[in-house]
Amino acid sequence: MKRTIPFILLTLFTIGIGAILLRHSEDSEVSMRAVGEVAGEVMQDADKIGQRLVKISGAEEREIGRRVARMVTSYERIGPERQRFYVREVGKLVARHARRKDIGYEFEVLESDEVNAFALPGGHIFITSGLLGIMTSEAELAGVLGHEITHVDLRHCVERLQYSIAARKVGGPLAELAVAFGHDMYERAYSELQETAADEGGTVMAMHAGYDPWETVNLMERMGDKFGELDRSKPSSPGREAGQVVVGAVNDYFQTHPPFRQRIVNIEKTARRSQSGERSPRWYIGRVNFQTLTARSIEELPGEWWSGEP
Amino acid sequence: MAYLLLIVSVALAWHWWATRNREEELQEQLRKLKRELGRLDASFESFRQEYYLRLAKAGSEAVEQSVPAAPTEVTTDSTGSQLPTLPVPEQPSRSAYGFLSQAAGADLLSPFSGTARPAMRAPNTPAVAPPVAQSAEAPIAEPPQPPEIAQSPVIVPSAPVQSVFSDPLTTVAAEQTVTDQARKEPWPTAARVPTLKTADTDQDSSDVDLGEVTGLSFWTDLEKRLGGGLLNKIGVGVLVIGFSLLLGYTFQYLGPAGKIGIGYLVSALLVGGGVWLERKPVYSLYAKGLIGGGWALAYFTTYALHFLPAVRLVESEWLGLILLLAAAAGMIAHSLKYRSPVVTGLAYALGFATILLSHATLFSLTATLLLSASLVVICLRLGWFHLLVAAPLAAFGCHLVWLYPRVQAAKFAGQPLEHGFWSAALIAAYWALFLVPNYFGRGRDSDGRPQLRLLLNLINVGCFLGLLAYQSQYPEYRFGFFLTVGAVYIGLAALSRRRSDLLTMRLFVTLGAGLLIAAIPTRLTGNWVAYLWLIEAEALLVSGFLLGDWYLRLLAAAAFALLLGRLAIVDTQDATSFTLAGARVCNSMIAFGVAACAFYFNHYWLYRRFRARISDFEWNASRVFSYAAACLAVAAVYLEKPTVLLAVAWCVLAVGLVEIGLLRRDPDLRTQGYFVILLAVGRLAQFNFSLDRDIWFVTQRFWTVALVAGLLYFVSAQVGRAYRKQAVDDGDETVRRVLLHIASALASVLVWFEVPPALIGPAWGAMALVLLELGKWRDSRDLRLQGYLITLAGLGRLFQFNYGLGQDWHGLSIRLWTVGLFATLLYYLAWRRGAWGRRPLAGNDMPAWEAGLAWERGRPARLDRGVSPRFTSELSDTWEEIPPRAMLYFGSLLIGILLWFELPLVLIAPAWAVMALVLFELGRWRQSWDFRIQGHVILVFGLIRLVRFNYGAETPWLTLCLRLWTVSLFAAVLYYLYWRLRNADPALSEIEEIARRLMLHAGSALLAVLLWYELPALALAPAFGFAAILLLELGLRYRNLDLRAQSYATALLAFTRFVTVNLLAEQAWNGTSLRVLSGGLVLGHILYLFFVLRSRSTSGARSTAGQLHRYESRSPEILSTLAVAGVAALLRFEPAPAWVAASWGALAVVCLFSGIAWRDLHFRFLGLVVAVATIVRTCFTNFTAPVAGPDSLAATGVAVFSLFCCYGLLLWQRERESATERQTGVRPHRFQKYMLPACLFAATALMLVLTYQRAPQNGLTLFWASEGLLLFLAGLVARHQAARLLGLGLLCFCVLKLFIYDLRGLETLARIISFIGLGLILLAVSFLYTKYSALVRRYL
Repeated sequence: MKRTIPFILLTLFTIGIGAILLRHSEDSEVSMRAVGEVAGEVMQDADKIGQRLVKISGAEEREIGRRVARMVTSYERIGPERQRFYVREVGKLVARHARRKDIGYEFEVLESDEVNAFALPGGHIFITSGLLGIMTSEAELAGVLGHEITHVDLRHCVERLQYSIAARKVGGPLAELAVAFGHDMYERAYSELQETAADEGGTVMAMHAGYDPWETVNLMERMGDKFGELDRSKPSSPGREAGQVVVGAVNDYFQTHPPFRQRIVNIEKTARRSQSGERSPRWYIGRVNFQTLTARSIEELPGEWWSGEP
Repeated sequence: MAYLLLIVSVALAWHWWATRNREEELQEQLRKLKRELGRLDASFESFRQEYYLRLAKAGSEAVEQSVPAAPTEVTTDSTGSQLPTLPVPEQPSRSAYGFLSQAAGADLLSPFSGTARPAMRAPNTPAVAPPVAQSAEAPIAEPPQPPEIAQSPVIVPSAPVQSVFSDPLTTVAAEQTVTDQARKEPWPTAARVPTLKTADTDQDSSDVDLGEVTGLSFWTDLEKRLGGGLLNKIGVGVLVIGFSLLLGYTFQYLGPAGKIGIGYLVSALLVGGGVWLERKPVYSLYAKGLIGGGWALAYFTTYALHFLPAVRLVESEWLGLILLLAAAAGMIAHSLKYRSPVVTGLAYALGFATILLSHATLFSLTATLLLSASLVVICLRLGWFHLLVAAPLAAFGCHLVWLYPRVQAAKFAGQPLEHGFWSAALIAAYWALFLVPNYFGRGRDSDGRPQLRLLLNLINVGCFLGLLAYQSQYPEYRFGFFLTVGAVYIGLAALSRRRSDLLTMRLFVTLGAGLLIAAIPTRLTGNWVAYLWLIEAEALLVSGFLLGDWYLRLLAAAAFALLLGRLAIVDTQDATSFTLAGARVCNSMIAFGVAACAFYFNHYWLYRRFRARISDFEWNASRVFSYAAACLAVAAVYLEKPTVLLAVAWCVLAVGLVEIGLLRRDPDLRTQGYFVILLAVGRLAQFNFSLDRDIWFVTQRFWTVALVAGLLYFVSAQVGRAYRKQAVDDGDETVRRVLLHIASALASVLVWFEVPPALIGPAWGAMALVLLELGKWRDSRDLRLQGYLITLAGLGRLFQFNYGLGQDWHGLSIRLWTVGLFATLLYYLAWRRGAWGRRPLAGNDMPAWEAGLAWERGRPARLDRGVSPRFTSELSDTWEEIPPRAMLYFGSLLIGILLWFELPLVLIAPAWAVMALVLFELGRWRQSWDFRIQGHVILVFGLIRLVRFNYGAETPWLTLCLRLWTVSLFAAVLYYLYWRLRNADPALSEIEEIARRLMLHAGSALLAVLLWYELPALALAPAFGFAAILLLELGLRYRNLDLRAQSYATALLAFTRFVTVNLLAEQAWNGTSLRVLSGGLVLGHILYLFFVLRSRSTSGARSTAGQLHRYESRSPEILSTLAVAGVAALLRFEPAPAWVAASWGALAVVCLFSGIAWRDLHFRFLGLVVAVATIVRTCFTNFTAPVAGPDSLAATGVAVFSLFCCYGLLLWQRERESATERQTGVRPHRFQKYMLPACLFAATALMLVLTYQRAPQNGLTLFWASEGLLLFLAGLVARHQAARLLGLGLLCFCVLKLFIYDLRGLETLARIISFIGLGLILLAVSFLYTKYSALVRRYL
């Protein structure tokens, strides 16, 4: 009798919530991502101690970035000047909200079909014309640039090199190679966390610059459609599911970026959280600006402003 | 880098200098203590004289009033002076001790007062009465009563107090002094410790807090070490480094000369001051530090004269080198004053370093020769052999440093090395120089010296040969060089033997022989090398026998081993041959033959001749020669390469060896023969079985294999005959049986080659049947064993080949014919051997197969065939019980696999289940464990088949899919067997009971998997959770542990499912996250389980007496852990990142509060774990967040506040535990003792970091100081010492921060000034501490 009422209540709850779950639980992901995220956080926390010990100065970082950027521009073709100017103007607008003030950000367009954007230590941001080709608005460009600026801002780029630099000083090139490989393997455990942080930071940065964060969501959806995702549909047996979970865990470990649908969820959450304090949010989209390659800082069009969520 | 290395080396040199002669320091301290004690003794004596004079005066006044004057006697005190023997005073009052204290003055407070006091109490003890006075015929005054010394708190010392005021060394010395003084005292003194052991004293001692006293002693000792020794060294080191930096810095108004002058001036001051202070014993240690630092600075300044560009005054490299050598010479000369090998060694090291640092030329290298020579002379004169060992390393090392770039340049340019001859000459000179210590200074040999000389010689020859090889320019002289050096070493060995220096002689003869051996291949090639090595080895062996030196024989053995290696590696590749009587004979075969003869000769003639002079070990070792000879003979036969007949030839050789061994009764020859037989069989297996060419209508394979098998049977028969005559031992009998098996195996393999493939299995089965019947008839265990093995081989053949034969033959497949035949044969053999289970004999528990064996066991031994009882095999061997049962198992296995081949795929698992049922019923009928086990096994395979195949069978049949039909049927069989076995056969074995329970688990697992197939992903975890609840309730209702275990496993599954699925759910229902809904439901299930189990326990803690099984005692803790972990995981994923730490902190508070309220230790532990997670999360996420807004500040503040709440809860817990401890005497758990301060420390640290991040930097110190003050006040209010100490520590840290943070990041000049200033300050502090150490310690 002592347990009867709780048991009945629990049974009723189970039936009720079970009914809800039966209706809404399609397409549920089964993976070790939750454990991986927590483990990645722990490893990232542990790595922060080491990163602090081998931290290099801003001047050194700028020098390294300059050398690497020179290499990149010597191997890759530079985009048209008008496009470069446009990207620089948008980038400057976004980079104003970066936290690090010892970095002078420089933006460059590479003439390549590859859909990619990357950041180098010292604030060198590169974006390919392939990626620009699938964009439709200036807000999308601002989101991508904010993402890469955040990588620099959070020292993700230079953290990949710090151990190698320290190892080279102590043990020479072989030690540098070994440490670089070791740290790369270690860093993979939390590289998705870095990307998530960059997504969040980039979204916030673009929003501070006045750009519409939902455009970034649109871009991610297009990229998800273009590149596809790992099939995580329900497997045919519990054993296969367990294997899929294990393989997925390994895959997640070696994957540098989170899945696009996860990134979309993160960006949406960040956007909602960031605009929750705004009384009357107004965001700039800049589709015409993007088509005419005229930056908002040069010509702000009244029709490109938009209020509220989609 | 070199500059830094130099600084480090100088610092290290200084360190060694300063810390040298530790023994001298201790001696110095001892002398100081003795002087102090002497002074105390003198003052005590004067005091005592005065005291007795006063007593005498008082006594004489009393005597004058009462009795006539008594004669005074004279006694001798400890110093030899005569003192008047005085009458013992009356019992002294406390005021007398007060007088003593006042009279003693400062001495009583000195560090030695604890030891001096007992001596002062001498007159007061009962035994204190002077013996003279006691033996006086007519004592003038009445002897005093024993004073109550222990009641005097002023005088009585206690051991802990003594330890406070004196360091251990002082205590030991003082105790020794007391003992000595007590020995010298003319009367027993109060220093005897037993008089101190009174009740009051013990009480006093127990009142003293030993921990505090010990701690104070530790701090005192630490201060002494810091002030007396460490500060001095650190100060000098810092000063030297500071001046080194000064020399490298460019000043505007101070030129190089000025800086050099300052360097020399300071070094002179240091050395001079050190020498001046060294005369005073008190400053001995301090002065040595100064001297070491001074020399280090002087050496560095001299180095800077040329090698440091900033102060280069001397442009000439030679002059710089000479000056450096002069500085080193000065150091050496000064160091010799101390007669310390370490100091002199360091000085020499700096001398060698001088040459290394300079750009050494060939001429300057001669300086190393001089340095080495002087070092050799000094070491030989002073007996510093340890130091001498390092000399060749330094000399040859310097030469290598000079040589390396030149050799590289010469190699690069392709030209001969410049000055190569002179370099070689110099190296040879080093070598000759370091040979000298072998023949001088032997008079000083002591323990370990010969070993050092051995090490020296090894280093010498290693460096000598290594360097010469490195700079080798004339390879054509190698032969002569090796011969010469080898001859020199042989000559030196002879000289050493004459000087009875056995160790050196052996080393040299080893080197000489080694060099001679190494010389031969440099000039000769082919088999001549082996012949000459053989001659040299034989010469060494003969010399060893003639001189009676085992070491030479050992060397000879090594040479023989080398020869063997040479023959095996090189000469086997030599294909040259010559013609002898029309036949070509391989040269290497001759070499191998000669070597084999020599080896047989050595063992069977030489060693046997000197058998009486050699040890058993050496004799046994010499037998290796015999085996080596056999190997060589085998190799000689092999080198002739008779391909087809090689196995036969080896077999013939083996038969010859075995026959000779049997004739000579030599086990070694027989063993060699056996090994050669194995080799022949191996060759047969590797080569002859592939010979298909016919000779006389029979293949070569048949001829050779049959011949070898026949020889094996022959050898087996010969050995067996000898064994029956007891001419060989049991080992040979074992080998005989092995040979028999090998022969039969060869026959079986021949069958495999000759019979058609499909019939091999049955043929082997028939052969096994024959062998088994034959073995039974002939009573031969080996034949039966062969029968079993061939049965096994037949089985293997069936599995490997016959199951694939699907063709029909007479309406049935060949597979069915052959496999069925074999299975029948197996069942027949099993029945024949009685393995069909228990016979239906009422009351007879013996299984049939065991009964059958018992019948055979009763048969009489077959003695009529001349076989002794020893050779009669017995059927009752344990291992023979296994094969018949195995045949039964294999029969069932064959049938099971046949079912797999014949039935449709979906029906295999049910068919196996039915077969298992049949076997179980058969096992019940025959009461056979074997049948039941087969049933279990087939059931397991059926289960696997079901899981692997039937879960995917979704084809409908009678409106339900086949998966449901087959899985349900299988689960029903499992549940039926679980019930049937329990009811039908209660006397199941333990393992069968486990299997029966596993059936229940398997049935439930099948149903759980069915759930997985039927329910969507998010609903599965709640379903599992609810199933866990149902199972637990059923398990508790029916007292079934298995059901409860399934409940726990299902709960674990639910949790795992929650982690992998529900935690990632992003969907929402009416604004409520499905993650929270489903996760909360699962965690609710787990918490329900926890509360149910907790209510079943008697006290709510671990005890579950009478309710749950002992294995389940931890289940509430595990469930609560899962619940808390699940909640923490939900909190990690649900709120904003900044608030995760705060929510965890709240969770920690809740857990801690629950644990304290429920008196649940595990919950408290969980709370602390969550608190730790909160700390980590706060540190690495909240403090490092890229954007730290007010939201983050509030979240972090909540986290820190929750940690302080945890601290408060722990304080509350401590109060409760204290109350409980006072009432019941139960002490709180140990970890709480550490958690309280740890929690406080962590919360404080987080608060400090939070303040550091958010407070303005200018006021940071003030903020921290305020927080420290608050902590201190909180500690006062809470009566928590750790909080008070932490507050005080924080205040101290604030004081330190004022100095440390300002000094960071200073410019170079400021850093130099800091270094110098700090060094001077440290030196001054150390000086003052040294001077006033006694005074400082008094005020501690």
